[in-house]
Amino acid sequence: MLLDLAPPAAPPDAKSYALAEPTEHDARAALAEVVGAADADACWARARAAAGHPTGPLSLDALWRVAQALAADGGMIAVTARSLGIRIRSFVLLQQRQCQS
Amino acid sequence: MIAAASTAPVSLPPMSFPAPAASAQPAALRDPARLGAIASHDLLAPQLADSLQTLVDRAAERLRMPIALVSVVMAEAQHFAAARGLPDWVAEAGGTPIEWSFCRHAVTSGEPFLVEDARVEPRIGENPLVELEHVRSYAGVPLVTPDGHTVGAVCVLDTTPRTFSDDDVAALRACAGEVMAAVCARAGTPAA
Repeated sequence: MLLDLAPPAAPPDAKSYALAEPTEHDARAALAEVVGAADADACWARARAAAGHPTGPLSLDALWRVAQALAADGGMIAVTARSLGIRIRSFVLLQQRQCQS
Repeated sequence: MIAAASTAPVSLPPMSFPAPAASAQPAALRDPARLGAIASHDLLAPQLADSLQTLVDRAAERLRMPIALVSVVMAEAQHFAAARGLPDWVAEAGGTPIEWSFCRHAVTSGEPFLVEDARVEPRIGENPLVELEHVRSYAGVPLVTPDGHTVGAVCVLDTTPRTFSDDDVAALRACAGEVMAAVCARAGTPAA
């Protein structure tokens, strides 16, 4: 469980290492590749509702919660959700790690 | 904090989906049948680590490498089903984005992937495991299901450059066989 999902201010020489901040758009696109666009919309709406964020923009913290809710669908949707979770955690932890350098 | 009067599902406007950056990865990683095999073999289950940790430890000791992993390689990320010797922040993430994965090369080629010095391996590119954690050498062999899907890799890593022998690769292949036998036994799927 990621306790602090607010990425710290990155040092001036911080690198992204090809990892941009994960977004809802990225997540829904990945989901659509697995289940098709129409089913992806339905899955995503269910996951947002289950995570307590049915509408509105998603912070990284909220995106994480939606990913956790999405994983409950199991199967290939859970595989997609796990990937999203790893990318979110890696993004935040990389920022934290570079603050230590 | 969002205050919602209702948490019932809401119809969201459909979005157009230009491909995300990670789709620059080979199509093999995105193969639905391969991703389906990951799901059907329950490779993301946290409990799988109980079955695999001893094998990971043995691989590290046999090859005298500080880091050893069983990695499940998905389309956008890799998940560590079992691990030893990882930097704390990488262990906490439970995997890495696919852009940082060494193991993906073993998966897409279907062959062992050996790196003597990651600083001069063009297929690695800019990578925090190399630049921040000083990973230099890597040896990984594919994990293949009985029906032929390459779902990940078992690998070892070190912070010093290293040349790997045929015996080293054979040891990793033997470990990969044991990993898949354990995975299939747990998932209730027929072993090879």
